[in-house]
Amino acid sequence: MRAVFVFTLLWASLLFELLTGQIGLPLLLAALVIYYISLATSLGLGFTLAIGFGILTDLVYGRILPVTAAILPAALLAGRLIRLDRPTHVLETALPGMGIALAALLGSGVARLALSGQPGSFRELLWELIFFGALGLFLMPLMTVIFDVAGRKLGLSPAIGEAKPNLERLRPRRVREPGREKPQ
Amino acid sequence: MKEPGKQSDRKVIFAAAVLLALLLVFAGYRALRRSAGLLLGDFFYPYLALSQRTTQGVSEQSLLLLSRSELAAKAEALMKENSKLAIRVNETENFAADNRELRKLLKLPAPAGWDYRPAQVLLRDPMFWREHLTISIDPDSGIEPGAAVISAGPDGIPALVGVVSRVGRRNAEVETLFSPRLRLSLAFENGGTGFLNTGERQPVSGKLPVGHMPVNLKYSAGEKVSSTGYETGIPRGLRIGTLSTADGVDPNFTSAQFVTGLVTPQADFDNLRYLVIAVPEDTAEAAEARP
Repeated sequence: MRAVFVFTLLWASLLFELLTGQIGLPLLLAALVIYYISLATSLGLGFTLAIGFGILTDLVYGRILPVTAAILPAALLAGRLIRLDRPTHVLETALPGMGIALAALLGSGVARLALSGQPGSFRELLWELIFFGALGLFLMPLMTVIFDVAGRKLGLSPAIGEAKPNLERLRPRRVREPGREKPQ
Repeated sequence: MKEPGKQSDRKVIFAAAVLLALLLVFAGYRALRRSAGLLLGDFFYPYLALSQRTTQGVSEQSLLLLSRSELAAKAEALMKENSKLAIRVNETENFAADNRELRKLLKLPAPAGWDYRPAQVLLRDPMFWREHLTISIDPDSGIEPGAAVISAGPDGIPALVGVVSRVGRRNAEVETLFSPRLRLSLAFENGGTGFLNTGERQPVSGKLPVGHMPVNLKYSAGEKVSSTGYETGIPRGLRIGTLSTADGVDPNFTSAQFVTGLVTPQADFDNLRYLVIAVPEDTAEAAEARP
Protein backbone atom coordinates (compact mmCIF):
# COMPACT_ATOMS: atom_id res chain seq x y z
CA MET A 1 0.00 0.00 0.00
CA ARG A 2 2.87 2.34 0.85
CA ALA A 3 4.44 1.79 -2.56
CA VAL A 4 1.13 2.54 -4.29
CA PHE A 5 0.68 5.72 -2.26
CA VAL A 6 4.24 6.91 -3.00
CA PHE A 7 3.88 6.05 -6.68
CA THR A 8 0.56 7.92 -6.91
CA LEU A 9 2.05 11.01 -5.27
CA LEU A 10 5.04 11.00 -7.61
CA TRP A 11 2.90 10.38 -10.68
CA ALA A 12 0.54 13.23 -9.83
CA SER A 13 3.43 15.59 -9.10
CA LEU A 14 5.13 14.68 -12.39
CA LEU A 15 1.97 15.39 -14.37
CA PHE A 16 1.48 18.64 -12.47
CA GLU A 17 5.11 19.52 -13.10
CA LEU A 18 4.75 18.95 -16.85
CA LEU A 19 1.52 20.92 -17.05
CA THR A 20 2.84 23.89 -15.06
CA GLY A 21 6.10 23.71 -17.02
CA GLN A 22 4.14 24.58 -20.16
CA ILE A 23 3.44 28.02 -18.74
CA GLY A 24 7.03 28.43 -17.57
CA LEU A 25 6.60 27.75 -13.86
CA PRO A 26 9.76 26.27 -12.34
CA LEU A 27 10.26 22.98 -10.52
CA LEU A 28 8.72 23.11 -7.06
CA LEU A 29 5.97 20.64 -6.24
CA ALA A 30 7.98 17.52 -7.02
CA ALA A 31 10.77 18.62 -4.67
CA LEU A 32 8.25 19.15 -1.86
CA VAL A 33 6.56 15.81 -2.51
CA ILE A 34 9.90 14.01 -2.38
CA TYR A 35 10.71 15.74 0.92
CA TYR A 36 7.36 14.55 2.31
CA ILE A 37 8.05 11.00 1.14
CA SER A 38 11.48 11.08 2.77
CA LEU A 39 9.82 12.11 6.06
CA ALA A 40 7.10 9.48 5.81
CA THR A 41 9.46 6.68 4.77
CA SER A 42 13.25 7.01 4.95
CA LEU A 43 15.95 9.39 3.84
CA GLY A 44 17.59 6.76 1.63
CA LEU A 45 14.36 6.13 -0.25
CA GLY A 46 13.90 9.89 -0.57
CA PHE A 47 17.29 10.33 -2.24
CA THR A 48 16.75 7.35 -4.51
CA LEU A 49 13.37 8.68 -5.59
CA ALA A 50 14.82 12.18 -6.08
CA ILE A 51 17.46 10.86 -8.47
CA GLY A 52 15.01 8.57 -10.29
CA PHE A 53 12.33 11.23 -10.58
CA GLY A 54 14.91 13.77 -11.76
CA ILE A 55 16.11 11.45 -14.51
CA LEU A 56 12.54 10.78 -15.64
CA THR A 57 11.77 14.51 -15.78
CA ASP A 58 14.93 15.24 -17.76
CA LEU A 59 14.14 12.43 -20.19
CA VAL A 60 10.64 13.75 -20.78
CA TYR A 61 12.00 17.23 -21.47
CA GLY A 62 14.79 15.78 -23.64
CA ARG A 63 17.57 17.67 -21.86
CA ILE A 64 21.20 17.00 -22.72
CA LEU A 65 22.24 16.43 -19.12
CA PRO A 66 20.22 15.05 -16.19
CA VAL A 67 20.26 18.34 -14.29
CA THR A 68 17.06 17.68 -12.32
CA ALA A 69 18.59 14.45 -11.04
CA ALA A 70 21.16 16.67 -9.28
CA ILE A 71 18.80 19.49 -8.27
CA LEU A 72 16.19 17.32 -6.51
CA PRO A 73 18.62 15.52 -4.16
CA ALA A 74 20.25 18.89 -3.39
CA ALA A 75 16.86 20.37 -2.53
CA LEU A 76 16.03 17.34 -0.38
CA LEU A 77 19.37 17.69 1.41
CA ALA A 78 18.67 21.37 2.05
CA GLY A 79 15.28 20.50 3.55
CA ARG A 80 16.69 17.79 5.77
CA LEU A 81 19.58 19.99 6.94
CA ILE A 82 17.20 22.75 8.00
CA ARG A 83 15.28 20.30 10.18
CA LEU A 84 17.46 17.38 11.23
CA ASP A 85 14.93 15.68 13.52
CA ARG A 86 11.58 14.38 12.43
CA PRO A 87 9.05 17.21 12.73
CA THR A 88 6.52 16.84 15.51
CA HIS A 89 4.25 19.65 14.36
CA VAL A 90 3.00 20.50 10.88
CA LEU A 91 4.40 24.03 11.02
CA GLU A 92 7.88 22.63 11.53
CA THR A 93 7.87 21.64 7.85
CA ALA A 94 7.41 25.26 6.74
CA LEU A 95 11.07 26.32 6.88
CA PRO A 96 12.31 23.16 5.15
CA GLY A 97 9.64 23.83 2.50
CA MET A 98 11.09 27.27 1.90
CA GLY A 99 14.64 25.89 1.86
CA ILE A 100 13.65 23.23 -0.67
CA ALA A 101 12.01 25.78 -2.96
CA LEU A 102 15.06 28.06 -2.76
CA ALA A 103 17.51 25.21 -3.35
CA ALA A 104 15.50 23.96 -6.35
CA LEU A 105 15.31 27.44 -7.87
CA LEU A 106 18.98 28.17 -7.27
CA GLY A 107 19.85 24.80 -8.80
CA SER A 108 17.75 25.61 -11.88
CA GLY A 109 19.44 29.00 -12.09
CA VAL A 110 22.91 27.46 -11.98
CA ALA A 111 21.95 24.84 -14.59
CA ARG A 112 20.54 27.56 -16.85
CA LEU A 113 23.68 29.64 -16.43
CA ALA A 114 25.92 26.69 -17.29
CA LEU A 115 23.96 25.14 -20.16
CA SER A 116 21.83 27.86 -21.70
CA GLY A 117 22.98 30.08 -24.55
CA GLN A 118 20.90 32.94 -23.23
CA PRO A 119 22.15 34.98 -20.29
CA GLY A 120 19.79 34.78 -17.32
CA SER A 121 18.39 37.77 -15.55
CA PHE A 122 19.56 38.00 -11.93
CA ARG A 123 16.70 40.33 -11.02
CA GLU A 124 14.15 37.86 -12.38
CA LEU A 125 15.75 35.03 -10.37
CA LEU A 126 15.65 37.18 -7.23
CA TRP A 127 11.90 37.78 -7.57
CA GLU A 128 11.37 34.10 -8.26
CA LEU A 129 13.32 33.21 -5.13
CA ILE A 130 11.23 35.54 -3.00
CA PHE A 131 7.90 34.41 -4.42
CA PHE A 132 8.49 30.67 -4.64
CA GLY A 133 10.36 30.65 -1.30
CA ALA A 134 7.27 32.11 0.34
CA LEU A 135 5.08 29.68 -1.57
CA GLY A 136 7.16 26.75 -0.31
CA LEU A 137 6.79 28.10 3.22
CA PHE A 138 2.99 27.81 3.01
CA LEU A 139 2.69 24.90 0.63
CA MET A 140 4.78 22.36 2.56
CA PRO A 141 2.69 22.33 5.79
CA LEU A 142 -0.50 22.27 3.73
CA MET A 143 0.73 19.35 1.65
CA THR A 144 1.92 17.53 4.78
CA VAL A 145 -1.53 17.82 6.38
CA ILE A 146 -3.31 16.59 3.25
CA PHE A 147 -0.92 13.72 2.58
CA ASP A 148 -0.87 12.67 6.23
CA VAL A 149 -4.66 12.51 6.35
CA ALA A 150 -4.70 10.45 3.15
CA GLY A 151 -1.87 8.25 4.42
CA ARG A 152 -3.59 7.60 7.77
CA LYS A 153 -6.76 6.50 5.99
CA LEU A 154 -4.64 4.01 4.08
CA GLY A 155 -3.04 2.85 7.32
CA LEU A 156 0.40 4.34 6.59
CA SER A 157 2.78 6.05 8.97
CA PRO A 158 2.52 9.86 8.86
CA ALA A 159 5.38 12.29 8.23
CA ILE A 160 4.70 14.14 11.48
CA GLY A 161 6.00 12.24 14.50
CA GLU A 162 4.30 12.03 17.86
CA ALA A 163 5.40 14.81 20.23
CA LYS A 164 6.54 13.71 23.69
CA PRO A 165 4.27 14.94 26.45
CA ASN A 166 5.72 17.89 28.34
CA LEU A 167 5.48 16.10 31.69
CA GLU A 168 7.59 13.22 30.38
CA ARG A 169 10.16 15.64 29.06
CA LEU A 170 10.48 17.57 32.31
CA ARG A 171 10.59 14.55 34.64
CA PRO A 172 14.17 13.99 35.84
CA ARG A 173 15.58 10.61 35.11
CA ARG A 174 16.54 8.47 38.08
CA VAL A 175 18.70 5.48 37.56
CA ARG A 176 18.81 2.96 40.29
CA GLU A 177 21.83 0.77 40.20
CA PRO A 178 21.09 -2.90 40.79
CA GLY A 179 22.28 -4.31 44.08
CA ARG A 180 22.51 -0.95 45.81
CA GLU A 181 20.17 -0.37 48.68
CA LYS A 182 17.89 2.58 48.90
CA PRO A 183 19.57 5.30 51.03
CA GLN A 184 17.89 5.70 54.37
CA MET B 1 32.34 -6.65 18.90
CA LYS B 2 32.86 -4.39 15.88
CA GLU B 3 36.30 -4.24 14.40
CA PRO B 4 37.35 -0.71 13.40
CA GLY B 5 39.30 -1.85 10.31
CA LYS B 6 36.40 -3.81 8.89
CA GLN B 7 34.02 -0.93 9.53
CA SER B 8 36.20 1.54 7.56
CA ASP B 9 36.52 -1.05 4.75
CA ARG B 10 32.76 -1.26 4.57
CA LYS B 11 32.49 2.51 4.34
CA VAL B 12 34.98 2.62 1.46
CA ILE B 13 33.14 -0.16 -0.36
CA PHE B 14 29.83 1.60 0.19
CA ALA B 15 31.22 4.92 -1.13
CA ALA B 16 32.73 3.16 -4.16
CA ALA B 17 29.43 1.36 -4.82
CA VAL B 18 27.50 4.64 -4.63
CA LEU B 19 29.97 6.33 -7.01
CA LEU B 20 29.77 3.41 -9.42
CA ALA B 21 25.97 3.45 -9.28
CA LEU B 22 25.91 7.19 -10.02
CA LEU B 23 28.35 6.70 -12.90
CA LEU B 24 26.19 3.93 -14.34
CA VAL B 25 23.06 6.05 -13.96
CA PHE B 26 24.74 8.95 -15.78
CA ALA B 27 26.08 6.71 -18.54
CA GLY B 28 22.66 5.06 -18.91
CA TYR B 29 21.03 8.47 -19.15
CA ARG B 30 23.39 9.61 -21.89
CA ALA B 31 23.02 6.32 -23.76
CA LEU B 32 19.24 5.99 -23.55
CA ARG B 33 18.33 9.67 -23.77
CA ARG B 34 17.69 9.65 -27.51
CA SER B 35 15.15 6.86 -27.56
CA ALA B 36 13.75 7.12 -24.04
CA GLY B 37 12.86 10.81 -24.44
CA LEU B 38 10.71 10.16 -27.49
CA LEU B 39 9.17 7.05 -25.95
CA LEU B 40 8.24 8.97 -22.81
CA GLY B 41 6.93 11.82 -24.95
CA ASP B 42 4.56 9.39 -26.65
CA PHE B 43 3.69 7.88 -23.29
CA PHE B 44 2.71 11.22 -21.76
CA TYR B 45 0.96 12.40 -24.93
CA PRO B 46 -2.62 11.61 -23.75
CA TYR B 47 -2.12 13.50 -20.48
CA LEU B 48 -0.50 16.52 -22.09
CA ALA B 49 -2.96 16.58 -24.97
CA LEU B 50 -5.76 16.61 -22.37
CA SER B 51 -5.01 20.23 -21.47
CA GLN B 52 -5.08 21.16 -25.17
CA ARG B 53 -8.44 19.44 -25.61
CA THR B 54 -9.82 21.15 -22.50
CA THR B 55 -8.76 24.59 -23.76
CA GLN B 56 -10.28 23.83 -27.15
CA GLY B 57 -13.51 22.61 -25.52
CA VAL B 58 -13.80 25.75 -23.38
CA SER B 59 -13.19 27.91 -26.44
CA GLU B 60 -15.91 26.04 -28.37
CA GLN B 61 -18.34 26.31 -25.47
CA SER B 62 -17.67 30.05 -25.14
CA LEU B 63 -18.50 30.38 -28.83
CA LEU B 64 -21.89 28.83 -28.14
CA LEU B 65 -22.63 31.56 -25.62
CA LEU B 66 -22.70 34.14 -28.41
CA SER B 67 -26.06 35.23 -29.81
CA ARG B 68 -27.17 34.31 -33.33
CA SER B 69 -26.64 37.83 -34.65
CA GLU B 70 -23.09 37.92 -33.21
CA LEU B 71 -22.30 34.54 -34.76
CA ALA B 72 -23.73 35.67 -38.10
CA ALA B 73 -21.57 38.83 -37.99
CA LYS B 74 -18.49 36.76 -37.23
CA ALA B 75 -19.26 34.30 -40.03
CA GLU B 76 -19.75 37.19 -42.47
CA ALA B 77 -16.42 38.75 -41.46
CA LEU B 78 -14.69 35.40 -41.93
CA MET B 79 -16.26 34.95 -45.37
CA LYS B 80 -14.98 38.38 -46.41
CA GLU B 81 -11.51 37.52 -45.11
CA ASN B 82 -11.59 34.17 -46.91
CA SER B 83 -12.53 35.75 -50.21
CA LYS B 84 -9.62 38.23 -49.87
CA LEU B 85 -7.25 35.39 -49.07
CA ALA B 86 -8.54 33.35 -52.04
CA ILE B 87 -7.72 36.27 -54.37
CA ARG B 88 -4.23 36.54 -52.88
CA VAL B 89 -3.66 32.78 -53.26
CA ASN B 90 -4.75 33.03 -56.88
CA GLU B 91 -2.27 35.88 -57.46
CA THR B 92 0.52 33.87 -55.85
CA GLU B 93 -0.33 30.84 -57.99
CA ASN B 94 -0.11 33.03 -61.10
CA PHE B 95 3.30 34.28 -59.97
CA ALA B 96 4.45 30.73 -59.34
CA ALA B 97 3.27 29.68 -62.82
CA ASP B 98 5.14 32.66 -64.35
CA ASN B 99 8.22 31.72 -62.35
CA ARG B 100 8.10 28.13 -63.59
CA GLU B 101 7.65 29.34 -67.20
CA LEU B 102 10.59 31.74 -66.95
CA ARG B 103 12.75 29.05 -65.42
CA LYS B 104 11.89 26.72 -68.29
CA LEU B 105 12.81 29.40 -70.81
CA LEU B 106 16.10 30.05 -69.03
CA LYS B 107 16.66 26.29 -68.70
CA LEU B 108 16.94 26.56 -64.91
CA PRO B 109 15.84 23.72 -62.57
CA ALA B 110 12.39 24.02 -60.97
CA PRO B 111 12.38 25.45 -57.42
CA ALA B 112 12.12 23.05 -54.52
CA GLY B 113 8.49 22.58 -53.56
CA TRP B 114 7.33 22.54 -49.96
CA ASP B 115 4.36 21.17 -48.18
CA TYR B 116 3.37 22.30 -44.70
CA ARG B 117 2.12 20.23 -41.78
CA PRO B 118 0.36 21.77 -38.78
CA ALA B 119 1.70 21.10 -35.29
CA GLN B 120 0.91 22.23 -31.79
CA VAL B 121 3.25 22.92 -28.89
CA LEU B 122 2.90 19.97 -26.54
CA LEU B 123 5.55 20.59 -23.93
CA ARG B 124 7.85 23.46 -23.03
CA ASP B 125 10.83 23.16 -20.76
CA PRO B 126 10.63 25.78 -17.99
CA MET B 127 14.39 25.59 -17.45
CA PHE B 128 15.32 26.15 -21.11
CA TRP B 129 12.18 28.01 -22.07
CA ARG B 130 13.33 29.60 -25.32
CA GLU B 131 15.71 26.92 -26.48
CA HIS B 132 13.83 23.70 -26.60
CA LEU B 133 10.24 22.53 -27.05
CA THR B 134 8.23 19.43 -27.90
CA ILE B 135 5.47 19.51 -30.50
CA SER B 136 2.65 17.10 -31.25
CA ILE B 137 2.55 15.79 -34.80
CA ASP B 138 0.46 13.40 -36.86
CA PRO B 139 1.91 9.89 -36.94
CA ASP B 140 2.08 9.84 -40.77
CA SER B 141 3.11 13.44 -41.37
CA GLY B 142 6.46 12.53 -42.91
CA ILE B 143 8.36 15.03 -40.77
CA GLU B 144 12.07 14.33 -40.53
CA PRO B 145 14.89 15.76 -38.40
CA GLY B 146 16.14 19.03 -39.86
CA ALA B 147 12.68 20.22 -40.94
CA ALA B 148 11.97 23.93 -40.44
CA VAL B 149 9.50 24.88 -37.72
CA ILE B 150 7.56 28.02 -38.62
CA SER B 151 5.28 30.30 -36.66
CA ALA B 152 3.40 33.43 -37.58
CA GLY B 153 5.09 36.43 -35.99
CA PRO B 154 3.19 39.23 -34.20
CA ASP B 155 2.56 40.89 -37.58
CA GLY B 156 1.36 37.64 -39.20
CA ILE B 157 4.52 37.13 -41.29
CA PRO B 158 5.72 33.50 -41.17
CA ALA B 159 8.97 33.28 -39.25
CA LEU B 160 11.42 30.52 -38.53
CA VAL B 161 11.26 29.22 -34.95
CA GLY B 162 13.77 26.41 -35.12
CA VAL B 163 14.57 23.01 -36.52
CA VAL B 164 13.17 19.58 -35.69
CA SER B 165 15.91 17.65 -33.92
CA ARG B 166 14.21 14.34 -33.17
CA VAL B 167 11.00 12.74 -34.34
CA GLY B 168 8.83 10.24 -32.47
CA ARG B 169 5.54 8.69 -33.48
CA ARG B 170 3.30 11.43 -32.12
CA ASN B 171 5.78 14.05 -30.97
CA ALA B 172 8.93 15.76 -32.16
CA GLU B 173 11.59 17.77 -30.38
CA VAL B 174 12.54 21.19 -31.67
CA GLU B 175 15.79 23.08 -31.20
CA THR B 176 14.87 26.74 -31.47
CA LEU B 177 16.99 29.58 -32.84
CA PHE B 178 18.06 30.36 -29.25
CA SER B 179 19.61 26.91 -28.80
CA PRO B 180 23.41 27.29 -28.75
CA ARG B 181 23.69 23.96 -30.58
CA LEU B 182 21.82 25.18 -33.67
CA ARG B 183 24.03 26.39 -36.53
CA LEU B 184 22.18 28.04 -39.40
CA SER B 185 23.10 30.17 -42.40
CA LEU B 186 21.36 33.54 -42.72
CA ALA B 187 20.89 35.92 -45.64
CA PHE B 188 20.89 39.70 -45.21
CA GLU B 189 19.08 42.22 -47.40
CA ASN B 190 22.40 43.59 -48.64
CA GLY B 191 23.23 40.19 -50.17
CA GLY B 192 25.59 39.11 -47.42
CA THR B 193 25.36 35.93 -45.39
CA GLY B 194 26.13 35.03 -41.81
CA PHE B 195 25.94 32.07 -39.47
CA LEU B 196 23.75 31.84 -36.42
CA ASN B 197 25.39 31.09 -33.05
CA THR B 198 28.92 31.41 -34.40
CA GLY B 199 31.60 34.04 -33.95
CA GLU B 200 32.85 35.63 -30.77
CA ARG B 201 29.83 37.78 -30.02
CA GLN B 202 28.46 37.19 -26.51
CA PRO B 203 24.73 36.41 -26.46
CA VAL B 204 22.37 39.11 -25.21
CA SER B 205 18.97 38.32 -23.73
CA GLY B 206 16.35 38.06 -26.47
CA LYS B 207 18.89 38.45 -29.31
CA LEU B 208 20.62 35.91 -31.51
CA PRO B 209 24.39 36.12 -32.02
CA VAL B 210 25.51 35.98 -35.66
CA GLY B 211 29.05 35.53 -36.90
CA HIS B 212 30.97 35.19 -40.16
CA MET B 213 29.37 38.23 -41.81
CA PRO B 214 31.65 39.44 -44.65
CA VAL B 215 33.47 42.61 -43.59
CA ASN B 216 33.31 44.30 -47.00
CA LEU B 217 29.51 44.76 -46.88
CA LYS B 218 27.62 47.53 -45.15
CA TYR B 219 25.10 46.41 -42.54
CA SER B 220 22.40 48.64 -41.17
CA ALA B 221 20.18 48.15 -38.13
CA GLY B 222 16.67 47.03 -39.00
CA GLU B 223 17.85 45.05 -42.02
CA LYS B 224 15.69 41.96 -42.62
CA VAL B 225 17.34 38.58 -42.08
CA SER B 226 16.01 35.43 -43.75
CA SER B 227 16.98 31.84 -44.44
CA THR B 228 19.35 31.04 -47.30
CA GLY B 229 17.90 27.68 -48.32
CA TYR B 230 21.34 26.05 -48.01
CA GLU B 231 20.01 23.69 -45.35
CA THR B 232 18.07 20.71 -46.68
CA GLY B 233 14.95 21.07 -44.53
CA ILE B 234 14.59 24.87 -44.54
CA PRO B 235 12.87 26.78 -47.38
CA ARG B 236 14.67 29.78 -48.82
CA GLY B 237 13.61 33.32 -47.88
CA LEU B 238 11.93 32.43 -44.62
CA ARG B 239 12.06 35.41 -42.25
CA ILE B 240 14.31 34.92 -39.24
CA GLY B 241 14.39 38.42 -37.79
CA THR B 242 15.93 41.84 -38.12
CA LEU B 243 19.51 42.90 -37.59
CA SER B 244 19.83 44.98 -34.44
CA THR B 245 23.58 45.65 -34.34
CA ALA B 246 26.70 44.78 -36.29
CA ASP B 247 30.36 45.49 -35.61
CA GLY B 248 31.29 48.87 -37.08
CA VAL B 249 34.59 48.04 -38.80
CA ASP B 250 36.19 49.93 -41.67
CA PRO B 251 37.32 47.21 -44.13
CA ASN B 252 40.21 49.44 -45.30
CA PHE B 253 41.75 49.57 -41.84
CA THR B 254 41.33 46.03 -40.55
CA SER B 255 42.76 42.61 -41.26
CA ALA B 256 39.54 40.89 -40.12
CA GLN B 257 37.59 39.01 -42.77
CA PHE B 258 34.32 38.80 -40.86
CA VAL B 259 32.26 40.82 -38.42
CA THR B 260 29.64 39.75 -35.91
CA GLY B 261 26.19 41.06 -35.08
CA LEU B 262 22.98 40.51 -33.17
CA VAL B 263 19.61 39.62 -34.67
CA THR B 264 16.22 40.18 -33.05
CA PRO B 265 14.07 37.15 -33.92
CA GLN B 266 10.78 37.69 -35.73
CA ALA B 267 8.83 34.95 -33.92
CA ASP B 268 7.44 35.59 -30.47
CA PHE B 269 9.09 32.80 -28.49
CA ASP B 270 7.05 33.42 -25.35
CA ASN B 271 3.73 32.84 -27.12
CA LEU B 272 4.20 29.80 -29.29
CA ARG B 273 1.18 27.56 -29.70
CA TYR B 274 0.34 26.66 -33.27
CA LEU B 275 3.25 25.90 -35.58
CA VAL B 276 3.80 24.72 -39.12
CA ILE B 277 6.47 22.26 -40.23
CA ALA B 278 7.95 22.48 -43.72
CA VAL B 279 8.18 19.15 -45.51
CA PRO B 280 9.70 18.75 -49.01
CA GLU B 281 7.03 18.01 -51.62
CA ASP B 282 7.00 14.47 -52.92
CA THR B 283 6.60 15.20 -56.60
CA ALA B 284 9.00 14.02 -59.27
CA GLU B 285 9.64 17.63 -60.34
CA ALA B 286 10.39 18.67 -56.76
CA ALA B 287 12.62 15.67 -56.19
CA GLU B 288 14.65 16.64 -59.27
CA ALA B 289 14.99 20.21 -58.10
CA ARG B 290 15.97 19.28 -54.56
CA PRO B 291 19.68 19.75 -53.79
